[in-house]
Amino acid sequence: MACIEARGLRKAYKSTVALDGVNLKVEEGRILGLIGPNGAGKSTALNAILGLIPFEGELKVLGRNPWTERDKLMTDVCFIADVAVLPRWMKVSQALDYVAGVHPRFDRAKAEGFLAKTAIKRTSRVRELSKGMVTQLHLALVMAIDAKLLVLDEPTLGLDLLYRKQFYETLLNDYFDKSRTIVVTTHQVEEIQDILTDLMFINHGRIVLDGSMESLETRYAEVMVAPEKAAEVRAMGPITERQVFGRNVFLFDGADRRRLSQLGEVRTPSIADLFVAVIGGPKAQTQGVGA
Amino acid sequence: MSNQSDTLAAAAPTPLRRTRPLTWSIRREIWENRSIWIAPLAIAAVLVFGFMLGVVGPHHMPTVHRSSSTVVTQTMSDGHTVVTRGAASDAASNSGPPGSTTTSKVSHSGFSMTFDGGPATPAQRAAMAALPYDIAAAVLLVGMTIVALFYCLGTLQNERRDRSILFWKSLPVSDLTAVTAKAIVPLAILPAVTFVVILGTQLVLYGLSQVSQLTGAASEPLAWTPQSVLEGLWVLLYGEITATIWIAPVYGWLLLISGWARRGGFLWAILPPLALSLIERVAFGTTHLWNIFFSRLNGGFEEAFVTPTKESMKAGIPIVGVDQLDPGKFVDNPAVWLGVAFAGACFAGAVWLRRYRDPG
Repeated sequence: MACIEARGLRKAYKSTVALDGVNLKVEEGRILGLIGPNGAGKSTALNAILGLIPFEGELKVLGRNPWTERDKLMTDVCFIADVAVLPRWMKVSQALDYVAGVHPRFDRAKAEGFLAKTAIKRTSRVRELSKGMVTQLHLALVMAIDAKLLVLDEPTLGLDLLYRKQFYETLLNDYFDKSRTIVVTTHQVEEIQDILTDLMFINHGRIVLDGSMESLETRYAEVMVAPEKAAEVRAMGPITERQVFGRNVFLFDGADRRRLSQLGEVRTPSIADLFVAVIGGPKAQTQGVGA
Repeated sequence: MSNQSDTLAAAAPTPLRRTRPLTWSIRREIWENRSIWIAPLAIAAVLVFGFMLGVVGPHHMPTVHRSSSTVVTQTMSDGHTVVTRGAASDAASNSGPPGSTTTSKVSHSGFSMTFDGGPATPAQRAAMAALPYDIAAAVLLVGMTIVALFYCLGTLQNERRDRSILFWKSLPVSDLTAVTAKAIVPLAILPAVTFVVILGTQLVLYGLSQVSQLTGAASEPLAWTPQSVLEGLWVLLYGEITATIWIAPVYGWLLLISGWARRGGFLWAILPPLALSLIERVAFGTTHLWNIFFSRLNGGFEEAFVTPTKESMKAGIPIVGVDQLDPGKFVDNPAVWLGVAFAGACFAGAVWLRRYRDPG
């Protein structure tokens, strides 16, 4: 059974279509990165998966309809919707008590163990903690829940580099195993590049790229060539072209790697480069990812 | 609702622990809204302080009024009688000019009651001895209602405003459970806390009156017999239950507005009833709607208790005595059940809004 399966998933808000017939399938034990520009439909997709909003089309999460069976589903699904949603008035000890009181899969000792590695005091209130510490606390709570699906929507937004790095390292080392599935959205794609098993680009409510990291690495190739060879490479039909330190970089979809390597230095494109190529098109080549 | 059978029914790789989502949701409401217990305690502290000033204040010091340690009945030159009891002795000066109707004024610990028709009867004196208890209870009940109104108006709006709703919704607690917990706060938690605080305050007042009597600061202790205590508790319990049922539609309405309004909850809460009342006034020249809306804030006293007559007032029969309870009148009143139905509809609306509203 797939962890998440959607067919013709659609969600419209008055005049805006946020999801326009999305088809997707996420198998168990995968870490999927859902990447897209602002307003692409990422959060709407996640909200539908989490049963927070009604939707049209077919969607099953762990075999359940998330909208009609949300209360049962939430026993097996966890999410961190944002970095700043823990109630500010709450004490750390109260957060532990509350989650232990309402979640049948919460292991308090485990959460205490995670917190012991941080500087967070049990008596502190959330408003007294730094943004990074609030994220650590939220992560400790979530990781102590034996859930099958964890959904992270911009979990590290606004955190400094150290906390961001630590967040994903902790998640990968102390939480993830082959029986769990993680779906994460972020604009800081370079940080999750190495932990993802699957990648999905979404734009204007549609999935524009979908595949495992291995398949994408095979499919896409980037070649860096000297300007004199640019015309020859351009004739091979790259999907994008940009200039780096006076050299031309071309990104190909399904090109012959052996032939490319005769023309220049071939490498696997980063998610950021791929994102710009697939989503941004030629106009976005000088811009960063997301924004 | 995420109940036990649901959680057990789910396929589980590890055994599921027993959970009590409703209990913990109520507990978290109490954690978040500390005014639930701080406000009654603060009001009680002020009442006790006021009572202390009343019994040991300068005009009640034994050196000034040593002679007031007994009941003094004075027949004035114009024939009216003044009964001076307890620590107060300024009744004569306040009993009206010569020639006025015959009155007696009974005071205790800074509180006083004036009765028409001659010397104070034992019933009047008993009413007087219980007056500080009644006043303490009344003030605390009013305080409770104010806290409850503000709580209902803010609770659902606040969790959206600070986005903590995304945390609450990330846990297996249904919207029905969450809103039920919120409704239980004004319907049961606040009344229960207030009940205990009223009882405690009355005990402290009694203790203070005992101490002040021993030290000679006050002449007479407050009444506190097993019967009066039990009757007082019964009246209080009955009064709290009926008052809560009576005001429930207001709580429900505010909860609904809290779940619906993005901002300006207070305005949205009062504008519709105000506008409807105004339309009725302009169109028909009547104020029925205004009376209906406003009557919900009067504590349900007229609906749940025997309406005091002028004679009973004169006789000094306590207004909220055990003989004045009238549950039959309350239960038979269709307005009570219409209010309950309205409160239920508002509650259902609040649950629906929390469920359907896009939390982002």
